[in-house]
Amino acid sequence: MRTSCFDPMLVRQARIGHSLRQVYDGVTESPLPDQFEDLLSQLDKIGEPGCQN
Amino acid sequence: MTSNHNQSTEGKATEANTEEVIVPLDDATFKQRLAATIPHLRAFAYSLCGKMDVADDLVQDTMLKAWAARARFRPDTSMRAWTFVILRNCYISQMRRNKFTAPYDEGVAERTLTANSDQQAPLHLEDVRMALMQLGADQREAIILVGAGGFSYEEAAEICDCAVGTMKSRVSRARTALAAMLDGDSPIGTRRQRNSADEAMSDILGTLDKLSQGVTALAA
Repeated sequence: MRTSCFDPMLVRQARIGHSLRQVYDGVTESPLPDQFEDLLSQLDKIGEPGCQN
Repeated sequence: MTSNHNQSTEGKATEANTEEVIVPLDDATFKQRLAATIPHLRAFAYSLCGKMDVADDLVQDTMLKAWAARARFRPDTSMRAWTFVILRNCYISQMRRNKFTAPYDEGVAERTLTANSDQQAPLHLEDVRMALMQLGADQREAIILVGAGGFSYEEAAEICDCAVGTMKSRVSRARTALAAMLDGDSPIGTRRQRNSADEAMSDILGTLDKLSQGVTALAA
């Protein structure tokens, strides 16, 4: 009778990877603060392109 | 033949002077694409500095710099990768000015990141976040870019201005360190230990309060 052949280390790494993505997605999916909407609306008033970054 | 020669010559000229062939996006399109990267910029910034409010400031600085440099953005490349480079440079500059003194703000992390937490998650996300913040900055950004942000090793290496092999090594070491911390082989920030210590201190203070009340009652 065959049981799981998954390497426990790989399973562990996959779970960590999944959790990392959840941490990342927790930020990307959280509502944007109003300051960003304000900033986007102000960008057009900010100088011509070509400045240094 | 002549045509091929001309194409070849043009190709070399293009490689030699890419600035001349960039056709920038119009402002509206650029702004639209920039806006779409904000959530990813916030996630990357948070992973770098560990403080959501500081991360948001960092993202704002990045957006302003990206907007100022929009003429240099190549429309056929990744806006996310381009802005991540700018954000990382902003972070390094501010680090040099010691703006970021605390690597991790637990309170902000709790408030900001619990929205997506899943009770059935195989690992406690708070433990993962804490373990992440215990990594060195190089390993942390590497594992976030490749392990969570979906960048290839090559893209991540370009963002971090290092060799692909270095990036692979950083990701590998970060994975190993995270696994060790989350398996309890290595300390994570000691949140649980701190909670235990806080509880013990609370018990001691509570006992002292009771004793002092007893002494006051006896004195009266």
